[in-house]
Formats: sequence, structure tokens, C-alpha cells
Amino acid sequence: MSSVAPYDALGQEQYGLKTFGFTPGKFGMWLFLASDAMGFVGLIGAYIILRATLPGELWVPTEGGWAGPGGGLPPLAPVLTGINTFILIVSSFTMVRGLDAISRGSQSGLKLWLGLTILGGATFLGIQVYEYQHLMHAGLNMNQHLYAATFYVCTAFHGMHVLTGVIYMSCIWIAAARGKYTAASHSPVELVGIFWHFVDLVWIILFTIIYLF
Amino acid sequence: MNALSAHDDPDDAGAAYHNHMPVYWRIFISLAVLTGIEFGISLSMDPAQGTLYMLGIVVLVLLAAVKAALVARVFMHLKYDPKILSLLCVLPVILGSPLVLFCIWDGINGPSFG
Repeated sequence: MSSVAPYDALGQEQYGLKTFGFTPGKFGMWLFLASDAMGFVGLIGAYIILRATLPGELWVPTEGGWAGPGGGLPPLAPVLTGINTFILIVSSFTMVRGLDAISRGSQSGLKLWLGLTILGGATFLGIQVYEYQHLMHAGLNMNQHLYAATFYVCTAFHGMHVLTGVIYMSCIWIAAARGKYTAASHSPVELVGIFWHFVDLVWIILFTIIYLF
Repeated sequence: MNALSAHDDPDDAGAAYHNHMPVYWRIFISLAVLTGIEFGISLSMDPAQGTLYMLGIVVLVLLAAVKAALVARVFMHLKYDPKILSLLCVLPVILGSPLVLFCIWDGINGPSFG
């Protein structure tokens, strides 16, 4: 009679949990996010060097009291984007509520809170598209000024992450609706949550650097 | 027929539930309040103020870093997970900070695009 190795008996997920304290999926997600963060660091670095080298007359107080690009460029909309930031923070909160719900075994709670998180992400994207339309109509076009190009690349790169998150969460929601997750087995919910909080975390930094000074 | 596999043994994870909701609420309220404070500081800033404006930028960046740390530690569960995941998370900060600091230095001392 042969003895069964712990790995074979427990499976990859439980073996990882018992041995390292986290699942291989969670380690993989963090590894991915660490490399993804470097992309944002590069873009933020590019924005900072641009802002630091802009002449004073290209960064001036604008209507509403906020500073913004001058030199004929239209001002940004910090209030609208601030509302969008709050929506993203709320969506992070609904995400942890969804994870808490399935940790207690509540599948209906997971569907509700994850659904609200998806709605928050979709609303964020809708407002961002509206903002882009408004700014482009006002004359902030990528081919007009290096500032405009950098602004759109930084925010749109994040926007693509939001879109990815919304699609990713929708896939998890469908699986949840089919009753795939239980209190004992919901690792994919935790992973999509980590991704979504990363999207929120990056926006907190981007919003401050691009819109608030 | 037992519908549970080795992956979802309730004995393994059922006891692992911890009620984090009170701390989630505190973090959510903190994030909302800090965002409001950021708005207030941003509204009172004027590029013509020179040193005061630079001080405002430092405060805003510090507040953003605090908010990001709250999200990473509590919402992303780094506070409750093994430290190696936190080290993995800090790696881009360690690698990226010199790049951003160099960008700031170069932006101040390098040629202007204007």
C-alpha cells in the first residue's frame, strides 16, 4: 500500500495554504500586480517630469480654484473626477463586502455586492468617457500638446485596467450565479478582489498627482 | 455521492472566517474623509505661492500614500497575509522610487520643454 503525498491528497490550493499561508493563485496575482505596477511607475514618472518642466504660464489657477494647464489648454474637471474617485472607493468597499459574504457562505450576498462593484466600475468608465468627450471637445487633444498626450495615456492605461476588472468581475459573477463558490472554496473571488483594489489604489495616486496639484 | 472535493473541505476553511467588517467600515470612512481633506487642500493651493505650494504637494502625496497603504494593508489583506506578500508588494516601490525621484530632479534641473 503506497502512502499518498500531501500535495496529491490536498490539491494545489490547500497544499499552498497549509505550506506557505497563501494559495499559488494569490502569489501569482501579487507577482503580476508587482510587474504591472512598474508600468504605472513609468507613466507617473513621465507625467512628473513633464509637469516639472512645464513653464509657469502653462500651469495656472483656473476656474473653481484648482490649478490646471494654461496656455490655451482647457482646465480639467477635478470635481467630476473627485466624484468618480469616490465611486471607485465605494466599489472597493462593496468588493470586500462581497468577499465577506461568501466567507460566511452567503452566495446571494456575494452576487449582490459583486454586482454593485461591477456597477461602480462601469459607472467610473462611463464618467471617464464623458470627461474625455468634454475635454476633447474643449480642445485637449493628444496631437495638440505633450501634456494632453501624457494625460490621456496615464488615465486611459488605468481605464483599461478598470475595463479589465469589470470584465473579470463579470466572469466571476456568472460563476457565482451558478453556485460555484462556497464558504470553503472562493479563492477566485479573493483574487479578483485583489486586482480590483489594486485598480483603486493606483487611481488614488493618479488622481492626486494629475488632478489635485 | 459527496459533492465536496479535497479543494473545498469545509473543515479547512469553515473555521477560518474572521469578521473584518468593523475594520472595513473604518477604512472606508477614513478613505472618504482623507479624500475630502485632499480636496480642501487642493482648493486652497495656488501655483503662485511658491514654497507653500510645494509644501501642499508634499502633503497631498503623503495623504495619497496613506490612502494607498490603507487599501493595500486592509482591503488587499496584506495585514493578515504572510509577510512575503508584503515584500512582493513593496518591491515596485523600492525599484520605482529612485526612478520617480530622478524624474523630479531631472524635471527641476534639466532642459524645459516650453
